[in-house]
Amino acid sequence: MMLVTRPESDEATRYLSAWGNLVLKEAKQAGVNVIDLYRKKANRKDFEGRIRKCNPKLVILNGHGNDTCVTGHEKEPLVIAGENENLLEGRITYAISCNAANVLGEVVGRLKNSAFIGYAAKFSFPFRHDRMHLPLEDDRAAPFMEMSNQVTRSLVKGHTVEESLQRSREVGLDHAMRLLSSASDPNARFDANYLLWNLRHQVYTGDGSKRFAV
Amino acid sequence: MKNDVTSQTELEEAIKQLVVARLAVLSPETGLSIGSEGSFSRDELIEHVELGDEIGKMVTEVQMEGLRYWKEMAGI
Repeated sequence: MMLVTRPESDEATRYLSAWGNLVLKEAKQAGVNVIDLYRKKANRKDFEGRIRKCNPKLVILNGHGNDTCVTGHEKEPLVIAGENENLLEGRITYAISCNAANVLGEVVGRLKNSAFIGYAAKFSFPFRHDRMHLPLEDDRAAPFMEMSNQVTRSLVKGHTVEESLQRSREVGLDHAMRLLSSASDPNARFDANYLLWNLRHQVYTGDGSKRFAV
Repeated sequence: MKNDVTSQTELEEAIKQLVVARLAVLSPETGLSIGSEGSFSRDELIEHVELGDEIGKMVTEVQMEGLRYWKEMAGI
């Protein structure tokens, strides 16, 4: 079983939610039971309750974050280092949020039989203002979302944490190289630099050999 | 010492101008999401870089780090 949080409070979370939904559907098709905490359901009470009741072995957190926490809908903190990180013990957690790998990731990585994948800097991505309401049709954001989704996709396929991270980086680098080879795209270098930024700050802590068992 | 300070300031100004020039060629519909800091238009990004505030410094760092990395990759 896997649990996914998909708040939608601003551009960033709307994009993560829409693109995260694609990989969520793939997981369901692969036979994974999915708990989807969407919009208002991405609150601390529901999050903690579902984790305790359903015991998901894979937790995907889409949201804002800082060194010590990841938030849900309307930026409500869901997991905070020093408060409730023990909820993530025995699981693989992937946080698509800013900075959470720094402290939260460190403490979760020290828990028994646990792994945490996240970002040690601001997770940033370009987008098109004329596609803001159609995130899945935004070709500027697509490489960033595909790179991020690859982590979940690989985990669902049974790859280890370390392998999944590596595969995601390869996807990001492939997109960056393709962008750099485009002489006519005025956005290519800017976007490639942000892809590079995200992939260089994408890290894991804890057990890199851990796999998600469906 | 004074010369060092001057050259450091000049270097920072040159970097700022380089980043602004790169931002200026972006498509006008460009937006950038920087996590909980929010979303910014191309023109807003240029303003932040020119001001030299935290957002501007972040944008500059990403672009300069990219420049150095790709240059190294290409063996230039």
